[in-house]
Amino acid sequence: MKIIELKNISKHFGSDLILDNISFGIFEGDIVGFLGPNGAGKSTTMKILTGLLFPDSGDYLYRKESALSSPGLIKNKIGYLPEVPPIYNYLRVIENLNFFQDIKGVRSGRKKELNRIVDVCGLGEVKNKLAGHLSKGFRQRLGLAIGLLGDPDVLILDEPTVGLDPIQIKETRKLIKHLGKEKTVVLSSHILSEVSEVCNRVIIINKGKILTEELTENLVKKIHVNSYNVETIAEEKDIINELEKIEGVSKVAVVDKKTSGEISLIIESNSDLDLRKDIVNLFSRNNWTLLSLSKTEPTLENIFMDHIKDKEE
Amino acid sequence: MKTLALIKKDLKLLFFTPLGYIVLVLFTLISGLIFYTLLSSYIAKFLQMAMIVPDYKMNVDNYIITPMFSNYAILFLIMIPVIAIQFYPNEKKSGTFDLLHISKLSLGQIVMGKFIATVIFYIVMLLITFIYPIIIARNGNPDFGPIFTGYLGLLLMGMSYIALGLFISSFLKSKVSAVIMTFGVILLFWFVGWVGSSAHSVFLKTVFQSFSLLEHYYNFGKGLLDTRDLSYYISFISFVLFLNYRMLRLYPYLNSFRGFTKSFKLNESMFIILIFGIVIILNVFSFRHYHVFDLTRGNRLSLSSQSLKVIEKIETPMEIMMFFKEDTPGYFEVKDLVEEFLRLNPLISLKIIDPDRELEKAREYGIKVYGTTLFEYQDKIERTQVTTEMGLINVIFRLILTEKFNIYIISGNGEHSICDLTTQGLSEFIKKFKNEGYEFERLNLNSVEEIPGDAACIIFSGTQKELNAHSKKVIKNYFKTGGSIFLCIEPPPCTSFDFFLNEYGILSNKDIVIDRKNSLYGISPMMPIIINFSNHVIGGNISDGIILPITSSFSFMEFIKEKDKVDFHLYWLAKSSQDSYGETNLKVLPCSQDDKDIKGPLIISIALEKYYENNEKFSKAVIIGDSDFMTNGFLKLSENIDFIGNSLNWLTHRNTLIYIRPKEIETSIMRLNPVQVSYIFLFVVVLIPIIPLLLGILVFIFRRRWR
Repeated sequence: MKIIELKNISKHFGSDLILDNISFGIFEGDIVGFLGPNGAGKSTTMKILTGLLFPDSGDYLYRKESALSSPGLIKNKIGYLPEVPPIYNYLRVIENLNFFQDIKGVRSGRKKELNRIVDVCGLGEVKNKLAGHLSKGFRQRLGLAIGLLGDPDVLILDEPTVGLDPIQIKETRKLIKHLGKEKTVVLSSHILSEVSEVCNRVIIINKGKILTEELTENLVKKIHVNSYNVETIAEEKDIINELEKIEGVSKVAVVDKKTSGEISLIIESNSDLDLRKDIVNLFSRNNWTLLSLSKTEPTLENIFMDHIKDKEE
Repeated sequence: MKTLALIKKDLKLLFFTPLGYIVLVLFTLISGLIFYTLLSSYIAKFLQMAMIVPDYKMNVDNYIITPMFSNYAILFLIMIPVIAIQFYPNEKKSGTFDLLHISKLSLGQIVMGKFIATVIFYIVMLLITFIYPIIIARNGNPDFGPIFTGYLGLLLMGMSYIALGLFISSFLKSKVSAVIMTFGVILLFWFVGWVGSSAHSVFLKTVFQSFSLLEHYYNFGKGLLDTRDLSYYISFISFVLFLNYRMLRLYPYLNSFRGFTKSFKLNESMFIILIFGIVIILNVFSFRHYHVFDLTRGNRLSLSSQSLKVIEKIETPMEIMMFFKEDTPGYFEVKDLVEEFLRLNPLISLKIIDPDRELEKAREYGIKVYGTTLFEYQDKIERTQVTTEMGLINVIFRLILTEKFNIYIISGNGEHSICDLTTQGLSEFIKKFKNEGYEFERLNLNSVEEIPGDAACIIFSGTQKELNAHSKKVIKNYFKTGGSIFLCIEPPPCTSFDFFLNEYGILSNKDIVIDRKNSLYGISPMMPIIINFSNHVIGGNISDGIILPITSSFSFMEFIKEKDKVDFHLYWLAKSSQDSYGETNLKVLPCSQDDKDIKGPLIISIALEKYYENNEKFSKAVIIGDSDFMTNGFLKLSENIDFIGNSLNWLTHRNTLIYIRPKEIETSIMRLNPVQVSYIFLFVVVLIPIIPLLLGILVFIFRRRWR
């Protein structure tokens, strides 16, 4: 069942069109990754989802009811962690949590909920510290904990790993995955690997438009872009001819040529199969020198290139 | 519960960060200095005045409490915006504002929560200042009414500042611009009142002043609780809070004004205009139906019902000018009274003029003494030195009165004539006093059975011949039933009035007053300049004296000293100088003083009051030993006109057309010696500000302990 559905949402900031007629749905239990470069409209979409921003046109359905005509509908149903964690620096961690519990109207089992969230987010050791003295990682966790208070159905996380160190990133991702078991999570990111690691569905947005909306596994498959970098010393024409004959190879291009005779090539394939074996065999059959061979994972850039190309074609 | 959490959290911003303590330390320091300055200047002035005027009472309420409250109004103008604009920009900066928005808190709860938190902090500031009235109360007897209303006024005005500051900061991101804008808007609401006070049209004046934050505060500072002021502040606060609420409602649309469809914009502005309209209508209603509660001791500021009637009758502009210095005795009494007049009738205006600074003006209006109040109405001018409600109201009443007073000038026995244009005639006298609301007519006592009933007063001006029995009877009857007689007896003394004088214990000395001092000025010694007046209302405001060309003197008979046996009172009005004497040998004039002559100073003029009808009413007479002083030849000398005018006012009861019982109110005073004053300095300027400083440091350390 779709818990959230945006229909033909547009939004201007001044004269700039930030969201251009976007529509998508989010199913209950999903961990949805909102993927796009900076300035694509991710934060704006997130804010519309929380009810903090009203779109210029379109409708926002929450469990099939319009959240725009009755804004009270989504109050407390949505936990929100903005890009900068919203924290009162002059309050202790526990005071921050208590306050948000109060204004979210949590009545019963306050202490239990608080302890559970402190545990889940690993805030135990800093409970009595002034929030202003927390490190970046703890601030992020506190922000997440605040979002979790009041047991919301949907958790909206705006770039939750930005500015964290690798260990913190890893921990945060683990935490989100853990939360995703109970709640619908929408997170925005500009890192494909993060989304593909954490999310089960991906929505890609660029320049205010949705490029695609897929299950993560399908997306990776659909992109079909496996590319291989090859460095060799051989006759350029022969190599290209032969390589193109390999089954699954869609394109071969020369990237670099050196005076020493070394050439760098990119081989693109639209097959799921690993072609490295075929390539090595080809080289040994023809007795060409293979200096290096590597396979590269698809990146966000690849996907954009791909989709933009698709559109152009 | 949720609002409470918000209030608690916002109070923590003020009490757990240095900001609140910085404000508190500064506030206690400045308010302590203000109090100390007022206190020490009060004590200094008091000591100074006590040396000049014995038993001088200087009112603490006027000199310390009221100015203290007006100073606080300015102090809070600066301090409150700094506090009030903290909340919204802080929330927006930390991003928590978004969470408040999507939490279960309603927008109304957010607005009220922030408002209440700031008001609580403000009340803490006010509570600290309670120390000052307590200090006064320990050393004196302040009036607690104005203190109470003063605090109520401060609270309401502060709440208005707070609401404005919150509203403005709710749509501005920068704190600096929010402070500046709040400050500016508050000042604007002050200026409106100043613009109003200089507006020419009464309507504009009322409109402008009714919008002013400061004008409505003024009454509170004095001890008056006016329902109009209450309704103004309550409406102001509620309307600004309402705007704040509407502003928060727009938050999800902000940054994108395309979100406002035309109809949305129209609806929103129509709604706000509608509410504004309702507020205005409510206030217009409250301006029409209001009540003023006077909380001062003994209802000091309440005018009597007679005064209210007189003030309401004023139909064209009346300008009142007070030629006072601030330490002139009676300054605050007159100012408070006149301000009450202004409040009741906007046609009245008040100017306070320091005669030392504006010498030209004082000269232009012929002001000779400090403490003169001048009334200008239509083309009439009156001056007075009285400071009582009754005195001032009677002056106003005389000015607005159109009714004429009939005065009969007795003729037929050799008196000065009202038609005579020579120096011996009274034509100038008639001309002068016709302008002041009197009508004159000649009356021959032989031709009437009794004095006409419309007579406000009769004047004998230099009767030469002996009166016949009929005339004497007419006079006696007239005086016994409430008549007023101005008796100017011309020397060489006629005995015509001895029947009357002797009955009331007055003895005509049958002399001529010789003042030897006069030769110093080159004036005939037989023409004494009288400068010695009693404090009776007739002579009370005469400073330069009157000049009497040949006068005789009077003495009081022994029997009048037994006061309970007589039904009348005698007051001496004017006496000749120490160097004068009464020459009894009238045949050889001038001659030197001998044993038979009467030693000065001599009574020249007497006021007589006779009670009748169970002592409830009284007849009046003014007796003076000369009549020439009112003739064309002498009328304009020195202050002769003033003396005559005062006498006529008194005789015709025009001073007391309206009787208002004087209020007996204990004056609030305070006595301190210099040592006590320096202890107070240490206490309010040093010790008190240290308390929030220490508290701040303690909290700072305590909050950081779990680092």
